[in-house]
Amino acid sequence: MVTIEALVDDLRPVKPVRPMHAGFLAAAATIGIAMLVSVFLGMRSDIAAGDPAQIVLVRSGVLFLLGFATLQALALSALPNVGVINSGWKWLLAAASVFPFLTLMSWWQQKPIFYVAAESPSRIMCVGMIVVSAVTIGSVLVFWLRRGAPVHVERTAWLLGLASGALGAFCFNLYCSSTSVEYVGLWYSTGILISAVAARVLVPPFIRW
Amino acid sequence: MKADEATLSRLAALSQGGDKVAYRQLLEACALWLGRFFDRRIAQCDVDDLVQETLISIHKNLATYNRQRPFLPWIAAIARYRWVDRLRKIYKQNEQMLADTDWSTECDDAIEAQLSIEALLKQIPQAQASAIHLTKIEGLSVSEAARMLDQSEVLIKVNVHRGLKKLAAMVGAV
Repeated sequence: MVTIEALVDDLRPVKPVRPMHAGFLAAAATIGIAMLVSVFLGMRSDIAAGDPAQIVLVRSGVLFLLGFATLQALALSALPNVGVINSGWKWLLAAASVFPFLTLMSWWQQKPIFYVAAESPSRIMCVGMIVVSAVTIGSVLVFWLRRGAPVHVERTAWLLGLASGALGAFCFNLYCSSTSVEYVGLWYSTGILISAVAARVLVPPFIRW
Repeated sequence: MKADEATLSRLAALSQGGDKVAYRQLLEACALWLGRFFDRRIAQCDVDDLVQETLISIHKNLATYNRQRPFLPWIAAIARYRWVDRLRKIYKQNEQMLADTDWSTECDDAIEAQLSIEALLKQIPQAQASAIHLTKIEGLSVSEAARMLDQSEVLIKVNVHRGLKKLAAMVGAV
């Protein structure tokens, strides 16, 4: 077969694509954005003092774990394979959905705190910062993914949007002065959702092979 | 060369290091494996093209093979991706052809032939028509058609044989 001869002639040593490199790149981008947020916007005073409020600890933990789990699934999806099941990120996503669920309950019960969160003056900045951070982290991940060969392109794009959205929200959370569950459920979720949908729409042409 | 999983994994690892002898053996084994993989999934005339396309994909994505994992699931995932991509292209091409056709003036020979076959199949018993449709038009194997029609393989073969005989007689009588 002619192709085989040509391909053998063209063979060069290659460095195997390592999923952990995606983690390093995403971690570097997240740390960079977190530092920029701290320098230009300022870190929450309770975090800076080393005694964060409970809600900050909870939302930080959920966002970090969601970002980590989706990032792990994304990194594995860059390597062609069949029969590898990685559904941990779905459980984390289900756990994170407790925030929008509680927000929905608040709205249903017409709690005043829901309306305070819904009309918060910082909501545009919150969503905007999450999306901008997600675009930055997502771009780094797209760059890495182009070395791989994802076989489920659409699912990989969703994962990329979720991972970069969650990590972007984690960065903003270091600055965010709100301590309300409703605020997280409304505006953090919106930022992550926009990031995921945007990735699903925009990323596939860049990672298809 | 029909290699086992361990041999293929070893050859792939050597190929990643630039070993051309191992790479040639690997590609030859892959070509055989891919030929069998695509054999029942796509029209025979397209199998060679698809095998070559997939070999090129394997070449471009050699770095994505993880040495700690088995080789066959890796090649199966690439083969499936290329196969689905090919089906998508065929579907889009057919859709474009349908859109470009001026139905008021044209009637493609193939469609005319298809309509003629459908008309002829209506004139023979249902069991024979179904067996011929699945094996000769859809391209399924006898065993696949047997499963789909819930009949034995022998019965499928008999129905195809008798049906074709009747169709030949009908065509001859025209």
